[in-house]
Amino acid sequence: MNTRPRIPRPTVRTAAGLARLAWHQHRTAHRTVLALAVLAAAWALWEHHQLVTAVEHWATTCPNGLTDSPPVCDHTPGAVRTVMEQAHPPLRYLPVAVGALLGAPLFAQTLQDGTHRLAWTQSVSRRQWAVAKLCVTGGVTALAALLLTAPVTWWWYTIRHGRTATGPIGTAWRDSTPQSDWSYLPYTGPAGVAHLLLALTTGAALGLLLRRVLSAVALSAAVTLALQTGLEQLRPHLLTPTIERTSSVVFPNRTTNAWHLDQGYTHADGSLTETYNCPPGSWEAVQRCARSQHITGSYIRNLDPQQFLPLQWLDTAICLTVIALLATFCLVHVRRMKTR
Amino acid sequence: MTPSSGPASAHHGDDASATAPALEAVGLGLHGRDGWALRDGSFTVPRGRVVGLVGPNGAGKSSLVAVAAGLRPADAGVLRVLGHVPGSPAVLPRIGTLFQDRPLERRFTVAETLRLGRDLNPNWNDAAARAIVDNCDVPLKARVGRLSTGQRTCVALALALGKQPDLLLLDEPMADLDPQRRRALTGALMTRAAEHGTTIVMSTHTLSELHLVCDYVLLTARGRILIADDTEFVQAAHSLITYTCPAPAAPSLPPQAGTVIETRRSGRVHTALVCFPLSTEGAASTSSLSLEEILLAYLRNPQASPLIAGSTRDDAPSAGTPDSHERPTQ
Repeated sequence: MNTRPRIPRPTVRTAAGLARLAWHQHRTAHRTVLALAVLAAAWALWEHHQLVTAVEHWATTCPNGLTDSPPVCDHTPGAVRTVMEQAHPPLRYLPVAVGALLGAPLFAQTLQDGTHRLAWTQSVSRRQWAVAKLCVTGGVTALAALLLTAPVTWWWYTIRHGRTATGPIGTAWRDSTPQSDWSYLPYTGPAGVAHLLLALTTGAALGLLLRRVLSAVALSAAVTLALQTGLEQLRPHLLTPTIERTSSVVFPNRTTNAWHLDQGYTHADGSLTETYNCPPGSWEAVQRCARSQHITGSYIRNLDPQQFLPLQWLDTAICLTVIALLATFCLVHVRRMKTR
Repeated sequence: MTPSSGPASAHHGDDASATAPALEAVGLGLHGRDGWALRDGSFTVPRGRVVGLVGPNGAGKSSLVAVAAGLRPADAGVLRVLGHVPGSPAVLPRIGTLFQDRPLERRFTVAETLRLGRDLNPNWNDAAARAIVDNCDVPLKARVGRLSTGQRTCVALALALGKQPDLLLLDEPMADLDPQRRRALTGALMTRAAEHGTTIVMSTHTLSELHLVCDYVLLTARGRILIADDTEFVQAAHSLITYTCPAPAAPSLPPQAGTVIETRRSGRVHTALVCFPLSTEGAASTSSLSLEEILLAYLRNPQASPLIAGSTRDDAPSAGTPDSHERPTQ
């Protein structure tokens, strides 16, 4: 076995045939995903228009910001609530759905039906077959992710730039939207696409391993959720935050569009603590208590607004690395698989 | 270029694989659902033969097809297909496989299925594949999932034959076909074997028609290969010898009779199915048997000494074997 004859590199016809097989096997799922992505993108574009209109309306209704304004200015506009609150759970659980419903059946369905033997006994290698399946469904997922991520990124971009604008419109954006826009990080830009592709590859690898659709769907949902949660936990530790200190127990002002990580108190030796055991009371009493605990000031830890994009690319790179590892696993494992 | 690597001789192999046997098993072991379906099986299937793979259910016939197709490795020993490791890139384009459950994409139409075959196989012969489908009256626009089992067999067989393989591995190809389609497909297979020298290995349970189609038989039962030889040779090698004993209790067979596969006794008449009879001395009559009768005798006596081309009978039991079937005397 020292000379290993290889199947010739796939011709255009072979590659097209494998791609056609990969598309046809999951054509209903592929078409559904693309149709849903188009609908979601149309809705997101409409919602962007609503958002801008709502904030402009707010700017004219509440010209003085939150202070000295009619009671209507106390309520967050509906479009802002939709974009900043209600849109988040669907975006958060979208990778879970992609991993379970698109990724898990990719290999598990054909292995469960036994139809993989149809492809495995033609003049193509199992690896070429697996590459075609991963690429076609990966391409569909990437296209759908782009369709959805682009308008969501536009939301984020509009909000971020609105909040740094000057004049009444800037005030309106700052007053009507929540402090931080960092929750958008995994849903926008390259990270938005990478997270969905990661979910797809996770589901595909688990389906190839388990060979049963139902168990693959269940485990893919759980593992995708765990991966997303893990990344969320990891994200604040990826870049060095900025620590702003003051020499009193009053916290420094928060920077617009920064990610506020945590806050606490500083000791005379420069060490930081988050705990502060002083009962609420008069200003002098609080000062006295703080001094008795050797607290000399306070701090806040932030990721600066300009760290958003580097962190997003770092997040994307982590996703792409895991995708590459999972895809490699698939291509190695498919060659070693034993079936009846 | 390093001299050791040699030219990559694409898929039609080197000199060794051009003359290598279609199948060559050495100490082959296959796990069945419960325990070994085949143990220590050694046999050779020469090129250009039409081989009947016979054995009871669970005797490892489908497992043998799966191993030869490269879907799973042998559980013990070695099986070489056309001189190569099963499933290796050199051999994949050269074998056509029909599995027992005919795996096909249910949502594809027949035309789409044939197009798949054309796209994925460099040696595809569309006319050959279409001829099979036409022979079976399978409409090209029909979805595979809506076809009858017989029609699905035709489509799967068309896919296997369209590859123009050197070796066809067919698991019960005729099992769910009506007589008309069975005849048409048998004809197509025989034409393929005659015109292109394609080796065909087909598992079957219909022993009565075996000698009409196959010229080589591979019989497996109870974990052993019992026969692996030319059908004509198998028929010629066996004789049914009838003796008349002087008394019912007297010892029946002369010890030099040959390798006894099965004996039957009815009163003073004693018949023995003997392989390679050495002497017919004392026999009342000698007759030849049909291939079906010989195979059934081996299936009834799986402990019998195997008849395998190219190997010697070193474990032949002595004459008057204990596994003889005594018919009650009246």
